[in-house]
Order: sequence, then structure tokens, then C-alpha cells
Amino acid sequence: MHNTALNLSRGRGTVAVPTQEYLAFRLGDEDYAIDILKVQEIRVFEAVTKLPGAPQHIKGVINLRGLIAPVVDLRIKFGFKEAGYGPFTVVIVLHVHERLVAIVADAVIDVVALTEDEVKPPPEFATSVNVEYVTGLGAKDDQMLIMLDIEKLISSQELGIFDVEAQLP
Amino acid sequence: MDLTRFLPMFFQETEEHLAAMERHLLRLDPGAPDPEALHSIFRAAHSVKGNSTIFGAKHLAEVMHQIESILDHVRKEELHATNNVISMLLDACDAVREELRRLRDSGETSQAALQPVYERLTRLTRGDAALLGAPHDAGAATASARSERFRVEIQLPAGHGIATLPLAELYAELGALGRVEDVQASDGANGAPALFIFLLTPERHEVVRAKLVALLGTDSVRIEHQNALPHLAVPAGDAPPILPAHTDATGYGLFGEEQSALRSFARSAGSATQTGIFSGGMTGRRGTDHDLSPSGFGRRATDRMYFDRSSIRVDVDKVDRLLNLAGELVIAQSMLAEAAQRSGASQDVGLRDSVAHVARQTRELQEAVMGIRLLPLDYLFSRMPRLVRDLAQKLAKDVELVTQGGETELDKEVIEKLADPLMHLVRNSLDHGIEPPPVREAAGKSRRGTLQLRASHQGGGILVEVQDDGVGFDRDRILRKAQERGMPAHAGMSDEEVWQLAFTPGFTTMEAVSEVSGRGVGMDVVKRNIRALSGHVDVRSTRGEGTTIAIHLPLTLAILDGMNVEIGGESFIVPLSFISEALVPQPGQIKSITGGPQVVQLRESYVPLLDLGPLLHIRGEDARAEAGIAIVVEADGRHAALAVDRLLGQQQVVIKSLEVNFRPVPGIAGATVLGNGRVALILDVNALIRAGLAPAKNADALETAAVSDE
Repeated sequence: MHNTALNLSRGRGTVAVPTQEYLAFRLGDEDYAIDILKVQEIRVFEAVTKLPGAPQHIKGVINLRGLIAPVVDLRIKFGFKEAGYGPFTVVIVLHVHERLVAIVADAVIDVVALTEDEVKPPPEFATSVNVEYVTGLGAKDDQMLIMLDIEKLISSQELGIFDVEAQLP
Repeated sequence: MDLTRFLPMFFQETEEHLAAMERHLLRLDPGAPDPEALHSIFRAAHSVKGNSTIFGAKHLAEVMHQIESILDHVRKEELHATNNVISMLLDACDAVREELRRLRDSGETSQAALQPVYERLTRLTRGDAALLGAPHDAGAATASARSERFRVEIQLPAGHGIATLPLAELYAELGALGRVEDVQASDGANGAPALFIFLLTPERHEVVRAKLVALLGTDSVRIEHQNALPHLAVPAGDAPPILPAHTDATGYGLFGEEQSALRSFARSAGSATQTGIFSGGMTGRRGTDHDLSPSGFGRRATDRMYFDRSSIRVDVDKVDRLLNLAGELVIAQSMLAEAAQRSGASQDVGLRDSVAHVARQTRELQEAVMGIRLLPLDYLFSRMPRLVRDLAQKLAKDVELVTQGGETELDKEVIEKLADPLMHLVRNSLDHGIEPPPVREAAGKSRRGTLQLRASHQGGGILVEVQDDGVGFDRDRILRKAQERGMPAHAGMSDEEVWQLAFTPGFTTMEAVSEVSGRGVGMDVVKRNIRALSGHVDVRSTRGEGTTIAIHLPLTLAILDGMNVEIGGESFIVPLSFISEALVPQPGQIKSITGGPQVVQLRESYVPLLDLGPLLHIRGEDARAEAGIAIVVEADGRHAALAVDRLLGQQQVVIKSLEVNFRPVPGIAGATVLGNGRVALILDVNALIRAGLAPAKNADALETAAVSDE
């Protein structure tokens, strides 16, 4: 199982135009991109251990070389109709605020480098709360990538991963 | 040089030195103080003084300096170490410790807080007989005259530095013979460097010489008598002072700030140049203070715990990381073994042997790593003499404390969390257990009560016992009090059950609340704390003969003995310490009450049956497995049967936190990784029972219980 973990090589040399690297992955029919520096590794989706009383989008916990990390299914959070788990389903292990959190993805597309010009501001929808975590739309080779502020999303109170209430007395 | 980064070390080391001082002070026999013990105290005090000076805490250094002076007088038998003197020194340690904590917590100093202590110490060093508390025996001052003073000269071949000498051994040897009063190094104007040692010893000339020759393998050693004893400076005053003023020159030699001979000597020894003071104090283990101490009594077994230079200080996080890795290795290994088994390759004898070998080595590695976290219980036991002494004094009781098995090792975390319960039990024994001397005498016992602290290995865990030979638990009184409080108590209860009543929150048999105990907060806290450590408490008590409280603890908190159970297809771990039995309920054995909650008949009692399925949101209420298994658990005095589908077996699991990357989950105490690499949750039996027995039995019972628990 561990040998299936793919460690991403970071930093592909320097380019003249200021670019940033993103990990592009697919959720249902949509393509998303997140800051590559937040990604620790990508693994195949394995059976998770369910947590009693956890919200639906928290699938459970997995063993990451001795550390217990929660697995979040953003498809459920985003209200996708189908959230199946097949042989190509992966989990992307993120390193956010000193914590390890894994998210489920239908597939990993690629690591893409985007210049500032290639990232357009997000359209102004007021309908969905989830849009608040979209920082922009990236265009690369006719492909549209939804740029996510993954750190903000993962640590958001509505996702319920971080124990916000525990901070209170 | 920025010293602030050394501050944590300073606090920690000073704390340890103070603890060492206290330990030795408490053991000091007022009649015949052990010179070794005195020296250890002195050494600790000196280190504290040195460190305090470095960090600019002059006022601490001054107090320590006075302590040194007093010790020096005691050592020279110019002052009797009466109980009053010892108490005064202990108080001084306390005051310094408090000041340190103030410094650490708020960064503020309070000279005023130390002033009274300082003044008392100063008065004592000035010879205020009133402080001695006992008549001073003036005749004792001449005892050291029996020793003779030698001037030992060790000549080195030209070109050889003093560093070529086996200095540590030299001082240890000479220290064993007597007292090294001074050390001087001469560069040797005529080309031959030499080392001069002034030694005070009752041994004969030949003995000293033989030792040195044997040690140095050279006979260029000259030993001369020095019969001219340096006169102690007697300060002029109106009243003839009892004590000569303390002067460093006649003291331990090293401790005079101006003892440049040693300083230069240390420098030439090459080990401590710029950081001479530092290594003397801050890093005492490696430093010059102990090894080069001119009065260098060798290190003794009792000191080893604190001064052993073969120990290192390591961040606990690093150890935990190592422990994690070792745990991972164990899992990886068992997956490998499983894979070998599955593939049929285990027919291969060579492979099978290798796999078995790896398995053994991995477990050994894991155990060894876990061993790093273990500390001797002496860490805890050593605090008790002080507590017992102070309490006995306060309560006017005569108590002897006997500790045994202090070398037994336990996880650092367990030790830390055991401190409060243990102190509480000791306090209880002294207050309620051991009677005042007249009462004991009337009962035909010795006036002096005995309190025993014992630790030993038992099974896979540790047994810590607190035993007193006091009055014992009063069965009738506990029963009466329990009934008065409306607790379910009746005369037919077994002793064991009656004693457990004493662990109920708020329970006390004391008529009056004393300063020491009797408020009824205590025994239940003891029990809860021990339970939190996955241990349990047993009481044995005989009226008139005494009480023994036995605390059973696991060796480490990182590992837990658990029962692997299956509920709704998921594996869960139930800590074994909660389980009293498991049974397969027969159809007639489960009964429902008012159509709702169910109970299991267990011999003559009924135990509520908790279906974990709905409680843990695993499956609906209706999907209860019919032929399940009931695990009877006990927590906080409440029994319950947990309904599970299957028992998968008993196993030791490494406890992992859910909170590192997630948040606490109600009803779950933690997680572990099973042999197949999957995560299993460890049930929080306490919370489950509370939730299961909560009046509002709804889906949020766990959350509600968790909140009310705060």
C-alpha cells in the first residue's frame, strides 16, 4: 500500500514569467487546481475507518505511516450527485496548518504551472457558499481549472475538520 | 553571548539541583551527617549559585552562598546539623524554587520574597545560636584534627601538559582518601610542570603515595606533611561567635570565585576554557564541576541519576517520533508476514525464518524505543520524604517513610500523572491513617508509624502500593456515612465494596475538614486519575492494623491492552482495563424495561445493555445483531454491558491521537493501527456509559454527555 504513494517532485526549475505550480485534479466533471506546496502526497483510495457521528463528507480516517489523518470527500461537500469510489479514485494528502488532511479526488490530472495572467478572477455568484473558496479560474490549453484556496476551505468551520469549538473554554 | 536560549535549561537544571539538595537534606542524620551527602548538597548548591550568577539572578546566588557557608560549617563540624538547621535549609530551597518559578512564569524577580530566608541564613552563618534549636556541642569542632595535611606534588616530564594526567580518576581517588583542599598548577619555571594538591586525610603517607603511584604509573610524586594548619579566621566581635566566619579560602577550594589556580588548571586541562563556569553548572554532566572538583569525592550510586554523564537530554517529541517509526515498522512487518503467508512463499524455510527473525527484531526495537520514555519511580518517590516530613510535623505525628522499588521504571507521562494521586494518598495516610504517637502507644503499637511506598513489576504492568500501619478503614463508619448520603450501601456488602464507597465523589468520613484533607475531594479524584492512566485502584484495609492502597498501572501510555471487537463490520478496541467479563447472552437473559432500554441478567444483578451500533451511529436501532456478545464494563463505579457483534481477540495496540490531524470524537478515546494497516478506533468506555445511561437517549447522547462532562 505504501509503495503506491506517489511523492511529487517540487520545483521544476525557474521560468522567466512569475508562475506558480498547482496540482490539477478532477472531482466529478469539474477540474480543480490547488497550490502544489500544500500537497504532501497522493495515494490510491483505500478503505477508511468511519468516525462515529461525523458529517457525511468526512469519510473517516486513514493511517498515514503511523499518523491518523481524516479523509474529506469534497464531492459530497459540494453536493455532487455521484460520489463513487473506483480503482482510479485517489486521495490527495494535504499539509495544512501543521495538520495532515486527505481529500478524495476522482483523478489527478497534472501539475500545471500558471502565470498570473492565466488566472482569471472568479465570477461573482452569490448563490453558493462554496464559491467563497474559489480564488479564480485558470485557463490552460482550453482547459478550465477551478482554483481553490484549499487551506481556507480545509480549515473552515463548515467543513468541521478543525476543532474550532475546542478553542473555547 | 545570548543566554536566553539557555534559560529553559537553567530552570530545569536548577530545579534538579534543588531536588537533589532536598533529597540529601532529608536523609541527613542530624547526629552524624554523612560527608558524602553534605558534599552532594554543597555541589548542588554551588551549581545553582554558579548558574544564577551567570543568568544574573544575583539574589538567588546570594542565598545559595549562605547555604554553602552553613554547609561548610557543618562539614567542618563547627555547626550541628540540627533539625532546625535542616528545616531552614529546606525552607531556603523552597524559597529559591518559588522565586525560580516566578522568574520563569512572569519573568519578574521578587527580592523581598527571599529576604527573610536570606536573613535567617545569614544570622545562622554569623553564629546566632538561637537558631540552632538545640544546644551546641562546642567540643565537636576539633574532630577533623585527626586528619593530616599533605602537600602532594606531581611532577610531569617537560613538555607534558597537565591535561595528560588522568585528572578525573586522580580526584576521585584522592577524594576517596580524604578531602582535597586546594589545587595549584605550576607551569614549571625550570621547564617541568607540576601539579600541587593539598590533601587532608586520615590515611598515612605511604598509603597516599602508593595510590598515586599506582594511578599515575610514575614515581615522580612527592608528598610532604603540612602540619601548619591554616588558622580559621575568627572575626572580632562583642560576643564570642560560635562559628568562624566562612571564608572561601578555607572552604571547598573550588568554590571561591578567585580560586584562579583551579581556573587556570581547568583551562590547562583543555576541557573548559571560555565556558569554564558554564560547564561547571549548566551542563554539569559533562562539565568540570564534578570531575575536577578538588574535593572530588567520586560519584556515588545515589547521585548517578542526576549526574551520570552517560545520559543525554532529548526532546520528548524526538522520542515519540522514534516510537512512531518503530510502531510503523511493526505494522509493516506484520503485513509482510501476512503477505508471505498468503503467497504461499512461507513454504520456503529460509524465508519463513527470516520473516520470524525480522518479527522478533522489530518487536525488540519497539520495546527498546519505548524504554527510552521510561523513568524510574524515584523521580516521584524522592518528592515524598519532604511531604511526609512536613505533614508529620504539622500533624504532630511520628512517621517513618520507607520506599522500595524506586528503580522501577514507568513511562514519563504516567509518572507525571501519578504525582498528584500518589501525593494525595500519602497525605491521606498521614492524616487519616497513622495515629498520633500517644494513640498508637495506647493501641500497643510503636509510637512511630510507618508509611511504605512500594513499586514493583506485576504482569505486564506496574504495581505501586501505599501502605500505612495506621488505624485502617472504619467499615461501620463508611457504611453509616454512605447511608446518610443516600448511597446504596448495606451491611451485607463485602469489604472490597465498602472500601470502594470511599472513592465516591464527595465522600468523607472526617467530621471536621482539616487543612490537610477531609474535604471529600480526593479519593474519587485519585481513582479517576488512575483510571485515566488505564490503571485501577485496589484497597486492602484491616481495622487497627492499617491500609494498603494498590495502584495498578500499565507500563506506558503509548500502549494499551485492548479487546478487538467488531460492531457493524468495523473494528473497535475496548481497553481491557475496563472489561470485567464477556458473555454470550442467552435469549432469556436480556430483558427490556418499559419496552425500551434493555438489561442483561448477570448472576443476581441486572446490568444495562448498551447497543453501540446506534450510539456510535454505525447502524440503526433496528439492525441489532441478535446473537451478539455482551462485554461487561465498569467505569466510575457504574456497570454496563456493551453489545458487540464479535470478539476478534485480545491485543496490544499503540495509541494514536485523533486530535493531531482532526478533532476529538465523542465516545472515542483514540485510534490505533491494526496489523493490516487499517485504523481501528479505541472506545472511550467512560463516555459511552455516561451517554448510554443518560436520561435523554437520543442520537446526540454522546455529544450531550461529552458536554456535561466538562
